[in-house]
Amino acid sequence: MSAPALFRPAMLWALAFVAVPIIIHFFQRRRTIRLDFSSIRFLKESAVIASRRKRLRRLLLLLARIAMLAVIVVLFAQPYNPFDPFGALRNPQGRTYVWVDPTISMDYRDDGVALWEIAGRCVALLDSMLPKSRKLFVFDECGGRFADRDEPRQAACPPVRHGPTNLGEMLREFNRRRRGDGHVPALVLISDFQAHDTAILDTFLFTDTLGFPVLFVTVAPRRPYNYAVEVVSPPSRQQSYVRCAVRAYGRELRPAGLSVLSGTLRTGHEQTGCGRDTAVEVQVETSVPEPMQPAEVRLEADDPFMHDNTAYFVTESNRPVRVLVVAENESAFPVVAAYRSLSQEQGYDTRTAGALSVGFDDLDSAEVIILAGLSVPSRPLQALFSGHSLERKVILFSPGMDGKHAALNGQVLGSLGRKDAGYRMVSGKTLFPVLPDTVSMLWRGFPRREDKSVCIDAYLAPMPGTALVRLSDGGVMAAYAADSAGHCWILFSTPICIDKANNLGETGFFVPLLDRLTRFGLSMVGRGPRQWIAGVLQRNPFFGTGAGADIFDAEGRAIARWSSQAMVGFEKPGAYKIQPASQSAYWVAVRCSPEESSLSYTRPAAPKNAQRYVKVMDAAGLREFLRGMRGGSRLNLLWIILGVLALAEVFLWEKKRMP
Amino acid sequence: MTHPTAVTFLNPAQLSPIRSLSLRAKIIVEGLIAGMHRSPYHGFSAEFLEHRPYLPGESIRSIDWRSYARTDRTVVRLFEDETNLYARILLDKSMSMAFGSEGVMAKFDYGRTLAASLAWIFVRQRDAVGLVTFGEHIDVSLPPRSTNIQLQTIIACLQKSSPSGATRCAAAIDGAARAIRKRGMCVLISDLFDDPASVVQALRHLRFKRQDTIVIWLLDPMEREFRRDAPLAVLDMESGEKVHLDGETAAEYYEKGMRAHRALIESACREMAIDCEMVFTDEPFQRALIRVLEKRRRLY
Repeated sequence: MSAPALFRPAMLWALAFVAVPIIIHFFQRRRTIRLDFSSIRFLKESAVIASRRKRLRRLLLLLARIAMLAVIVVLFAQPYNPFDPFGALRNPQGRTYVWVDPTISMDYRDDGVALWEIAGRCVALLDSMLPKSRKLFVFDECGGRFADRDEPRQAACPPVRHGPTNLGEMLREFNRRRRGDGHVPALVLISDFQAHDTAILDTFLFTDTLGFPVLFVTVAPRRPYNYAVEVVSPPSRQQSYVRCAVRAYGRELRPAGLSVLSGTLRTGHEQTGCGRDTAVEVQVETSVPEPMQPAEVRLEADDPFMHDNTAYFVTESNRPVRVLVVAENESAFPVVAAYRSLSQEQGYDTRTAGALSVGFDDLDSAEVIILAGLSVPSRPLQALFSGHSLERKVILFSPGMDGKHAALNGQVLGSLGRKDAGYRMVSGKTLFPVLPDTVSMLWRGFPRREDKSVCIDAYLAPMPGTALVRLSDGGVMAAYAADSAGHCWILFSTPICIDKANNLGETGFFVPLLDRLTRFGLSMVGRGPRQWIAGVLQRNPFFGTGAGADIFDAEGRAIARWSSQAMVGFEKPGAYKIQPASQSAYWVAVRCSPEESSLSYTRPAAPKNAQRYVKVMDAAGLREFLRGMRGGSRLNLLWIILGVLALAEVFLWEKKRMP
Repeated sequence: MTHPTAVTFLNPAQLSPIRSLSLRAKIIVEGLIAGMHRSPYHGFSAEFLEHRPYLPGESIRSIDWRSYARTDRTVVRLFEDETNLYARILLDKSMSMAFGSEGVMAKFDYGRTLAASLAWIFVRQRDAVGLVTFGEHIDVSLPPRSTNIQLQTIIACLQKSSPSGATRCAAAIDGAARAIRKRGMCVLISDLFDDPASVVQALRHLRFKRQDTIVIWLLDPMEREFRRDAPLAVLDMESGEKVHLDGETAAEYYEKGMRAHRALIESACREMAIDCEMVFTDEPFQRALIRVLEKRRRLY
């Protein structure tokens, strides 16, 4: 066994004790006495053989004793299998880094026991079954670092919290610390491994060169189920009901009550139910509340994960959104018509202006500006392009496809992207729009969708900013970009007015697309019904404005002050009051992350080259693994050898004493 | 009357400085006569010879009570056979007899002292005694005679002889037996380190020649209990062969072999009505002789 295969090679000095039996053996060798004897007839035949046997036994006894001492020394030196990466877990000088998933999904209570409690038991198991002198560090969620198990944890730090996982932070900290470790560390991750977390881990496993053991301990429930409610549309001046989406994951929802509560007052109630892994939309009639007031919808169903059984909402403001459509001719009529069609339900106040006649006041008073097919910018528009505006706007830019529009197109797109990009028109192939994914800012929660009723024959490329809607060939149909003044630009690569480049205005895709993009833009400039998700940081709407706001919870307790922080957020779901300085207060609703509700679990899968370093097991498997690892086949073999040697020693000792 | 417990036996070690075998024999035999309750002189004759005065220390059973009734004197009747007993002493003088452990007389020395003492006793009884010494072959063979000169010859012969050669006990006894013509008595003094079957065969030959046989099996104390304290390099005194042994193991095997050897010879002796007496060289001569003679007397 080579020296590196021992955790305590320094213990090998004790092999010097092997000399003890050798010395005793040689001291016990008596000097031969010469004897002249009458006859050796009774000695010659058998005694000589017996004497040889005895000498052999003495030699074997010596060897057995030497081997016993050597095995004991090796056991003290703590051997391990150098080819088994998990042997490093038995190293008493090594370190174990433990990360316990702090996300709210760990508060799932399986048979009354929360997953984070099971995770705690796993940590205690590691603590008790790994060598005592081995250091165990648990990632401290609040401190953002690995804390020694003996260090007192921050009392205020809860075991679980809302918001995204801190895996990235933990992995950075782990990589930083392991570089300073003299011994091979071990990483233990205890989580329910929801699909979105596992994606991060898979990336880690693929990109990191693992030279250390990674233990994934999953505490995911065996038969998870959950019911969740989400407010789709709050009541407003135009509607006296709340539209809710009720979802049942993993188990059928038997008829359960759905109540609308305004403060302590129940203002509406419905019975609802749905099948397993389905959703149902429910309208709960409620009295029309005051605008901009908080309320909640509560699903009265018992399930293991209660955080998403209440959805908070704020009633819509009565003030309509002011939309200004700036166009050179009548080609922008479909846009105006679309906004007007939405005015009743969504509250748009739509006006139009000519490209040259639009004034500074028009632009200042509008919250959403649609620039459709412009070729020559007026001075107010030039001022808008250069950022001379008091408030941030949502600007939907629809390019003209003729040559006369090229200069303005290049000016606008170039100011938001690379100036030397050379934006050109691509045509000749009919394409259709694709809503690309389910995780982008705009389409979060929606499935991938392709609409083949829309035919796009020409578009500009390349487009600056972040793609929101793509084309079937992978190009960009609409993108989002922010300029230096903070305006939110929704840039279309193809006209949204009547144009031969596409038939967008003639399809059912047109109106919802405009509505969706407008609301997205409003949310980006802090005007719209921003979706606040508990634990998720968003851009501070007061950042850079010089103004600030006090934040109060539903009971009126001040919980924060937003001023110059770049990113702000709320820890828990609920309704919060934002009181800006010298402005009227307004409420925001904070919801639980829908990703946590879905209870979609996936075990991490290691790539082939990392498989020997990775083990995935559940909590029961962890106990078995640690128990098996405590012994180790090689260690067991040594104990067996020691036992056999001890038996041999006793046997040979007895034989030595007997004739 | 001397009490038997008051008799002091002389150890072989005390006698070993006395070089003269004749003197040794005289001391032994005189001491033996004084100490014994029963006189060994009466053991081998049956014909009345004469009366003699009773000596203190003698058994009162030997008193002639009839004579005492008539004369009021305590006398002892002496008997004499009409014909002498023809006795032969067969002494093993092989090299194995030269062995004597530390502080103990060598077996040969002890054996020839016993032989001289016996010869003395025989001659004093007016029995004819002869001597055969043998090693690999018969070395000396003196036919039995009952004269004092014969005794001196025997003692001189014993004095001169020294151990040599290997033990060919059986062949020598066979050879001696062939030369015997008359019924008599044979006293074999040997360590019997020979093939037991051959020894038994030779003894059978003696019995066949109508010899009343006494075997004095002479052994050193170490041959009774082999030393077991250390590894040994043992040299066979007869063959010169050397073996290395572990003391304890050798002792175990020696005792085991000796036990079997002894059992074989002793059972054969019992079967043939041969008196076999094991004598150790650390034993006083008188005690050894008394044991032999007492046992002998009981047989008659």
